[in-house]
Amino acid sequence: MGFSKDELVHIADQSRLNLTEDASDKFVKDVRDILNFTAKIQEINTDGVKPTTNGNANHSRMRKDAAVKWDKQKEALNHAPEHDGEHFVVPPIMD
Amino acid sequence: MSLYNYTIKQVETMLKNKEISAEELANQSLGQIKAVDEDVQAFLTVTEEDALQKAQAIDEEAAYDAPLAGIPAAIKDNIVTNGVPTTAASRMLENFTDPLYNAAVVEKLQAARAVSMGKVNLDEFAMGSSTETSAFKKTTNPWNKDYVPGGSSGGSAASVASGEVMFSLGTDTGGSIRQPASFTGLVGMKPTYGLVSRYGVIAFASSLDQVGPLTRTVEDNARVLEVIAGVDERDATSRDAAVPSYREALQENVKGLKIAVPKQFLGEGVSSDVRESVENALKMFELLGASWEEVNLPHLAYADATYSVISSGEAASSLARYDGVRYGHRSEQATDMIDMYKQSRTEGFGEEVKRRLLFGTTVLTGERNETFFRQAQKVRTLIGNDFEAAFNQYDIIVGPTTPTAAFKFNEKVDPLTMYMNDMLTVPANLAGLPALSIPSGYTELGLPLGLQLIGKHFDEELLYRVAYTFEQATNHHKKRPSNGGTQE
Amino acid sequence: MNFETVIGLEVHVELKTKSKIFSSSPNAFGDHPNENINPKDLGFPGTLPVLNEEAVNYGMKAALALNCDIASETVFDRKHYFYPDNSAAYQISQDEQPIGENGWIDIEVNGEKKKIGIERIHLEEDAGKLTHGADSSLVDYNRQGTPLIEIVSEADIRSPEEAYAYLEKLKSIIQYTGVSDVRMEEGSLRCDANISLRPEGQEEFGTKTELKNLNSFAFVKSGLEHEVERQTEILSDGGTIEQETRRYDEKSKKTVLMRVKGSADDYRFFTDPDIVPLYIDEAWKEKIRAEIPELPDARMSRYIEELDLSAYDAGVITSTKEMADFFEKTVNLNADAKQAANWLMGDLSAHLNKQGLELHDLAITPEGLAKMINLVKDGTISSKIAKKVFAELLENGGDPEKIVKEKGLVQISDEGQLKEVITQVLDENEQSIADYKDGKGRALGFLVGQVMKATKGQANPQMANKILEEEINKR
Ligand SMILES: [Mg+2]
Ligand SMILES: [Zn+2]
Repeated sequence: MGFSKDELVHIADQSRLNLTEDASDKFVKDVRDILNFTAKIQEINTDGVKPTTNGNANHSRMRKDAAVKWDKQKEALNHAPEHDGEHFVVPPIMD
Repeated sequence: MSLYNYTIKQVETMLKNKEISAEELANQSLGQIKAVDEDVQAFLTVTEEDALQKAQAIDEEAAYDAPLAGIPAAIKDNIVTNGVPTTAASRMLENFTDPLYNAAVVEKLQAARAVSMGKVNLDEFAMGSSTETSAFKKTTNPWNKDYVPGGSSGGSAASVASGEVMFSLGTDTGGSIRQPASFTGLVGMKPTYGLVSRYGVIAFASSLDQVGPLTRTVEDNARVLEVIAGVDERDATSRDAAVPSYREALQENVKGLKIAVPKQFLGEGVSSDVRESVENALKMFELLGASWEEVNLPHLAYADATYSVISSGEAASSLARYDGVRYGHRSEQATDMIDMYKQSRTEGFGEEVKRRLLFGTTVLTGERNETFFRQAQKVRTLIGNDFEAAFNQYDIIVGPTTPTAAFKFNEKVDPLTMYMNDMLTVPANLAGLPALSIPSGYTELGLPLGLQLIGKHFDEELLYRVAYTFEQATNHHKKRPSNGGTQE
Repeated sequence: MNFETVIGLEVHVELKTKSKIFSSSPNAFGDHPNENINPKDLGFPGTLPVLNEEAVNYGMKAALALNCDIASETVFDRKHYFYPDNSAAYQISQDEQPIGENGWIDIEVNGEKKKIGIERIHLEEDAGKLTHGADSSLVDYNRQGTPLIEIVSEADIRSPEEAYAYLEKLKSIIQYTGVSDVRMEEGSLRCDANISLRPEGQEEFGTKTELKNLNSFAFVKSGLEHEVERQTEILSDGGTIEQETRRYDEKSKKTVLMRVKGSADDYRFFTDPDIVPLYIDEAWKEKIRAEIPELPDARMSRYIEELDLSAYDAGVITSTKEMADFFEKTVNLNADAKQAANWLMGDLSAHLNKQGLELHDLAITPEGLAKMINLVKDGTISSKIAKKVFAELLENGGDPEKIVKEKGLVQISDEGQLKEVITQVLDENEQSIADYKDGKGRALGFLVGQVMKATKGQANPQMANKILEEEINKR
């Protein structure tokens, strides 16, 4: 199965990962190998087969609408890489 | 005393008879950790002070009736612990010193008055089969330190096998409890999906992950599962049903039991010593009144590929939240937001995690979302149907846990070869079935082998009964490893 | 060439549940930043979403009120994108099977009725809030996890006026169901618009642009109007429309380019394994349907047919449920419907608008209004006095009968008493009598005024008039 370096570059960007040239060479081969290995599932006719999306057959498990206030917001903020005492702070967004 | 020589049940009696205190048990455990962990390298965090405090409290309250009173335990470091660092063995969470809440299973262990000695090593984010992908240390196999302990619950397995603790919790997404249990001579249970709450378990692949115990005996295992099982309103996939007493299931009786052995389980890639130990086990079951037949589960040959696609796709999603915004590693290099994401994730994740994120994102993107990911979900249905058909005729499925015994460090460098090690364990995860590994012999080099039992949904009781019968009829579980243990 | 405008609207509505859709944090506004958060809202490792049953009830209620079919089986899907306001890096939404589909609402523009289709309504979670600065951006996760419904219209809307009417009707219906405050100023209703033009008679849609930052219904209309102009100009000059996202600029009243849409975003959707499938049976659906109150259109026709209101009055009265409920209670207390409508649409609405208040902020009750209307009807007070009583009811509420008594506002209908006052007034204004007799009609008005002044407005006007004329004629 084809999997080009360009594709890998796009996938890495979508995964929010930077890859060095060497890493790209390795990963493009790895991903291609795994794609080739897993492509065998496409041999199977799955017409009309319902996909299994969950680990079990539970259904309609919900919670009642009751609000509970957490008491560790400040600690959570203090553990953050950067904060201003009220907000989580991130570097500026440049589109 | 050595924790090695006792079961949880025996310790319970000793505590009640005041032959030993919880504090002495804790000290015994801490002593063993100090003595052997330099070699074993199981622990990422030892919570000595907290353990002693908890043990003393048990003694003060004489709380010996609690189900796991004073029993030293280790917790895989992808299970969150309030006030205790939880790293998933990743640089990404190296500074995640306090998750600010407890996982459901941790709450349950605390309520049962077990005493956690700390957090143990794993493959980074549980992705691996040797614990070699941990960002922090290489845990060794207590039976031979040139060999891996298996993974991803390698620290969990090694800590129990080396006598540091009496039980541990692991997680199993594709064999991560059973395979290390098999590699280190332990009983490892992956419960039915939904039996144990996943609340507080760091997600790898949410439709496959389950928590379970690793112990030296079947009885110990049943005890721990009784404590951690049960519905949790914080996990919508947990089953809303009463938990049976697994200990009551521990009877020596397999008369009339109908065993199925999928032909793939003794086929290509399975080593001769492994095959032999399974054949011996089957002979023993026959002697005890059970019968067995080889069966064909037609879609089992696709389980490894199906697992690879689903687990990686889900992992790409589960691990997307590690972005350096709210907690965890943030790169200091970045000057704008997108760069901060990329740098932080690039620095925070190791190679195996990156490989799975890249593959996982690939199978979720564009057309492959349908031709790979969704197709794998459909094949998963067919694999489940195969098992269902088998269970219409048979009570239990038996086979090896792994194709080979433990391998050496750096032996499996090719990712696909490493993934092949999971081929016998992933089917139970895909079908959500309970599966247990029990010691079933040793290789010529003295490395343990494991027998895998797979049951119907929520039929852990039968697995324990069959495992107990096998255990009582064999001596495999009585052998102790070289590292730290006293040979019997 | 003439072009036809094609508009589709995507409306997000926040549901006013007590807790968030997938976590137990309070679902509340206006609190301190990062106050209503917990580990789940922060995307902490190991946390899991659990669906809020009430959010499903509310979403279903809105979908039923908008005439949607309800899915008997639905799942929740993960929509992936990296952004600091999105703490799990995926939004839980319904991609594959929305809770509601194939709905519609009726609108009316310039007297013409039209059905606008609703393609789908799905449940999803809101994101946190990002405040951009030059050196850094600030993230507040209070809003992360607020339950939303996204209502996607069919591309049935043909003009900015229709878009406006659609939004008004949508808002009114949802507000009737009580599942949301639907206040655009507070962000509990948000609207994006897709707009394209095509040559009249052509079936194929033209390239559309997406408009964002439409912070009021008026801006939606004005933004669309500008976009119609802009696209018409380009197309008329033989140009082509780029598929892009444009922002409405409130100051210039123009739309400006935000970003060009390249290849469609890939959200890598898949079903969330943490959330189990949701099954909705007939019984559940019918239970929710039974909770839906009579909706504005039904009420409006009932008011026209049964209470004889004009279409205009019935429309205004039913535009909010609160007003319609107030009106209906008043009428049920035997007040004249036309009178009740007049008071509500006149003095009361003026007061609300002037003070920026809502009906429930006022002290007046339907009981008070009904009693007051009936005091006018039985002649106890004049309609002029009624205005005073009404003002008092608006400010302080209370019983109109008591107000009338305490303030001495009862109408004087006693003939003897009136005659006495009138005699005195006539004695003092002989010139006016003369004028009147000379045919100057205005003189009578002056005299009536004097009688009212002397009685502090309490004279029964009809009687005062009659006696006045009689007495003048005697002189
Ligand atoms: Mg949308
Ligand atoms: Zn939306």
